[in-house]
Amino acid sequence: MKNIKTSFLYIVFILVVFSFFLLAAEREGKPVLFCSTTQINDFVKNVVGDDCIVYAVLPPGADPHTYQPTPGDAQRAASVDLCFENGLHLEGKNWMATLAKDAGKPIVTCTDGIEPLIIEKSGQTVPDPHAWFDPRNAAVYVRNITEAVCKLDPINKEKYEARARLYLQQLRNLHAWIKKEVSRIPPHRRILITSHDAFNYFGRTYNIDAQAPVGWSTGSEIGAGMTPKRRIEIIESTKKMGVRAFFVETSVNPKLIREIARETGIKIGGELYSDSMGEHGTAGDTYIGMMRENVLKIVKALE
Amino acid sequence: MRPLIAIFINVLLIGGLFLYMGIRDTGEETHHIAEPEKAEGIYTLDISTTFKISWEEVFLLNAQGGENAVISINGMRLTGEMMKSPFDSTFRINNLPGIIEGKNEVFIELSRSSEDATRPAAVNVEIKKDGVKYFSDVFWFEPEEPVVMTVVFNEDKAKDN
Ligand SMILES: [Zn+2]
Repeated sequence: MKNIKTSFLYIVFILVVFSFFLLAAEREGKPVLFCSTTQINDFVKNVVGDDCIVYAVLPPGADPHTYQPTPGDAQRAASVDLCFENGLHLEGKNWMATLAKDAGKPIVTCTDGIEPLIIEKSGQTVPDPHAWFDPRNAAVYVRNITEAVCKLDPINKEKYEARARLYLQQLRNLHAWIKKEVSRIPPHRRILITSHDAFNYFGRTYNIDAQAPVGWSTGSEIGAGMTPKRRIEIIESTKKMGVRAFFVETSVNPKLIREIARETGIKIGGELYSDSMGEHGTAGDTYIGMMRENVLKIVKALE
Repeated sequence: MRPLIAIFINVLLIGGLFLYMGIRDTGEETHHIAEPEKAEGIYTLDISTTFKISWEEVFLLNAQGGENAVISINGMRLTGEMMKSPFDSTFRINNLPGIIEGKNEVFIELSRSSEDATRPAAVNVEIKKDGVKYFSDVFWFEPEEPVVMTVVFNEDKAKDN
């Protein structure tokens, strides 16, 4: 009996050692990158392909505004070569910058160079962090990423640049396609009411009036700042505006918007991807896929 | 006693009727969208491009539901029937339909030949109202970039004066 136990332990030990070797072999020479959001993860993967190992902090469906980094995130940050964040305070309390700083790793802010939209948040003006909703801004993310990985790994520079060129062309096609799809909605019907105000850039780019009753708050803060008076105002104004549909978001609790929809008798136009892309295997598991899914739902509900 | 009961029942019935009408009205209000007013005047749209495009072909393709060129006004897709005859290097649509009071949007998508698509391109869009230039803009496109543009302009009564 003792013999069996010993040999079992021995096999386990061999397997563990072997798997470490496998991991090390795969990682050999490859830079390791660490991204905050699912969108940035997708942009980075489109540029680096198999030439780097890419990890993301946020899983699909997680909320970047309220995310709290785990000890596991800190451990991973310590083992990577370069970190990527969205910036403009999308990562609540700048958690990605803190992770990178604590691990002593360099960080790239993907929104660098983007002229941010200025919005109001509890009486103060702040830059809107949801810049990826304009594919032309997504192109800036991709250019920032490409520049950083070319510097980190100059041997593969040509490959990174070639991939980036291809992806930028896809983003241009996406932008043109969205314009065309949105052109099917008469302008006076283009009112987009969502759970939290992630769609300002999207609205500005495609001439859609984007509004969110909850304002800035997401996730655990849902309903924060929602007084009975504010609620009545929202219900009255949505009725008056002739809103055709409300939309819920994948990363935001839909309770409040569903309640308001019920009270106003306005339908729910569907669930939109906002701060997070979809689960692996869904149509929204890439940036282009998530934008496409959103646009199809919006056009169908407002057309 | 009986007249009193009759009055009571009547009040109930009429009250109920008004209450029902009130509810029905708010119900209708929910789904009511004020359709915008049609703007007065005759609008013309001219599109000129730095790349060759066979407007004859565009016209025919559109008539058959092809997508060589797509033009929409305020969500309404123009058909080949509405897109009038070719006009040298400029494509003109006389009497542009669907212009409304307030915000207007004209969407234009054109296709380039693969040879033309290797070079940058420009498209000039001009809108005339009753023969007078009203709006014009030039759009630039990189090689391989889809030639797609949206023109937004406000039409309001005050401008007529
Ligand atoms: Zn957000």
